[in-house]
Amino acid sequence: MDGVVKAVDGVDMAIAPGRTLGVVGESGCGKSVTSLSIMRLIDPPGWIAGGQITFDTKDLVKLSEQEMRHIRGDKISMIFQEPMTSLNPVFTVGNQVGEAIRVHRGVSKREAETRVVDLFRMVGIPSPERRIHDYPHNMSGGMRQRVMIAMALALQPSLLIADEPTTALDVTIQAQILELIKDLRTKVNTAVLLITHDIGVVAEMADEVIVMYTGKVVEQGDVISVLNSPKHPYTVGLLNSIPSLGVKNQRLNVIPGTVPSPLNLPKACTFAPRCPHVMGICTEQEPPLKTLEGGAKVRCWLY
Amino acid sequence: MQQTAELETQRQKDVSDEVLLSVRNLRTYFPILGGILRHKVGEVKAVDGISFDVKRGETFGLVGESGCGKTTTGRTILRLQKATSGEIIFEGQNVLSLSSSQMKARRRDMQIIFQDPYSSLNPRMPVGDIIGEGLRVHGLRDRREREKTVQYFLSVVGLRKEYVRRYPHEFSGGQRQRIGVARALALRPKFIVCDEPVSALDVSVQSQVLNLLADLQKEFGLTYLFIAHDLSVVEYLSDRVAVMYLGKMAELATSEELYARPLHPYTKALLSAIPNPDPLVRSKRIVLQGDVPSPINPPSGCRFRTRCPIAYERCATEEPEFREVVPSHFVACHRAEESTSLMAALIARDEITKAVPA
Repeated sequence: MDGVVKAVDGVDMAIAPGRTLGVVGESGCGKSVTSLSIMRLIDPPGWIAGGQITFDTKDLVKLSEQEMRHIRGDKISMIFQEPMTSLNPVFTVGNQVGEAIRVHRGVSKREAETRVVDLFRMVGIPSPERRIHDYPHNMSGGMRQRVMIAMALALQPSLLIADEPTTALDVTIQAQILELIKDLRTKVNTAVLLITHDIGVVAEMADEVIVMYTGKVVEQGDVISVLNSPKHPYTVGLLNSIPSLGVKNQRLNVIPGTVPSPLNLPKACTFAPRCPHVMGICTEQEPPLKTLEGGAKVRCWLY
Repeated sequence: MQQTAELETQRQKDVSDEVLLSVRNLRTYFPILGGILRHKVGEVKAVDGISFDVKRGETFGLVGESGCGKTTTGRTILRLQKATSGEIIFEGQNVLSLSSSQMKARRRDMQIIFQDPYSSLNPRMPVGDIIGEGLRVHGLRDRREREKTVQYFLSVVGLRKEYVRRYPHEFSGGQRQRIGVARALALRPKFIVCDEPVSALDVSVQSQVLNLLADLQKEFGLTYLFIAHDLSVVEYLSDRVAVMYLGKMAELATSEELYARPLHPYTKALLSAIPNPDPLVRSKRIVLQGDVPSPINPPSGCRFRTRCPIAYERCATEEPEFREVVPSHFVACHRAEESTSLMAALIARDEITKAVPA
């Protein structure tokens, strides 16, 4: 063994019904691994090394695989980033969406099919009675993602995990999908865990936000305070390095350096080598996640 | 964020009125072969008749979504893709009519930065060779001279000279992209096609590379064709921006004008679709229905009419002319003069703002 990559290293999060929590961070920060852990979809050699995942009074970490299978798809469902690779190419989309309904509700194939047609109509797939017989490759990226959403919402889950649901899509299709998720969220009162690197998507969809860096939470709070008055230097740097419409002719802010390799993380505060406000203590002791007045949390010695 | 006069002058560029590159009625079709004999059964009309000029020193932004033909346009200009018809006039010379040896000489002046930093660098070549290959091909035989030039460009893009002997896999995405930039610069070209140069990079690395491209443009007097689907990125670097849809040009204006006063319904929808990073801003956005039609069989008349909220009878029978509606602002739309008021009314009545049509 060359070493242990602590992909997620001490993350606390809570989502209330009907609320949306946005998880923001760049590649390698651990956001996807967090969501896969919640679904208990981490394959060996990875493993959940510790902690609790409390869902509706049960600790998911302690459940057997069979018990998890009852929960996946039914109570917690997931939308993945690449709709093409997440759908089975040899089954029709109607069959795939119907599968979850048949398995979890025990209804007949015919009845499942009726429900799938309704779902397709709900997510805006035109001519749903015909489209249920399509294969994934017959559909465009936007349509496939709608199928994924239909699948994820088929059983009216309490928690929907959306891992970069619109990253692979064109911006006008992304607009359709985001409006759809918002619409359905109101109708079904689902809690949403939205993982993305797109600050605009977070601003639009999330109630609360968590910013992750090298497997840890560095800032947490409601969306307005995190995005409009960011506290952690990483959050500040991230927000300032995005070109926004209408703001031209200024140098983009840059966070110097690159994200450290997870096998070789800096001692104490992992952001210290790139931080414009680094102090002596930052390289000696890791800052704890501190709760500030107003409820926001930051992991930084500046506070 | 404040904009001071000092920052303005920092970004002042030398954009002349001289036309460096002129694209005239460019068409690039890809044949679809079918049947037992594999003969042509159709064509993908990736680029279907576009014309535009790029001025010396400017950054010309080309935006559009997947399948609009922007990447094919960039590649056709460099003859990495065979043009079906049209002209590409670079410094007065029609590049498409050049022999291969003449084209080789021209390639010194026209280079490209690719989108994917992972597949655009040969994994079996050390970085020094990747950057220096063009120099060798174009006659710089002296190894020491080449090495000096390569090291110079490595430092220009912010990488250490010692990296000359390393292989691509030893670098991060952002660093690889810088190597791609160094490779493009090595021959001191006049014109660089930047094909989605930052799309594959993390947000914080994107800003490093964008700043680098802006600095290099000033330092080396470069002209860029900047192709991207991310509108905020394009606006940031570009002087003028053209919007493409299904192989045709829908709109062309200065970036300030395009973003402030878009006239084509597609451009309006595109701009409206960008999520605003300010959580307090809650504006109604235009949601286009349906998917982009196939470029094999594009709609008659105006290609955008199947998704256009203000299309009428004329749009199906007559293709709109790409015309100057406002000085220096070109639009291909029969209703360009009234598009803004028509669409504002639809938005106010919530007719085009829903994900699922009622």
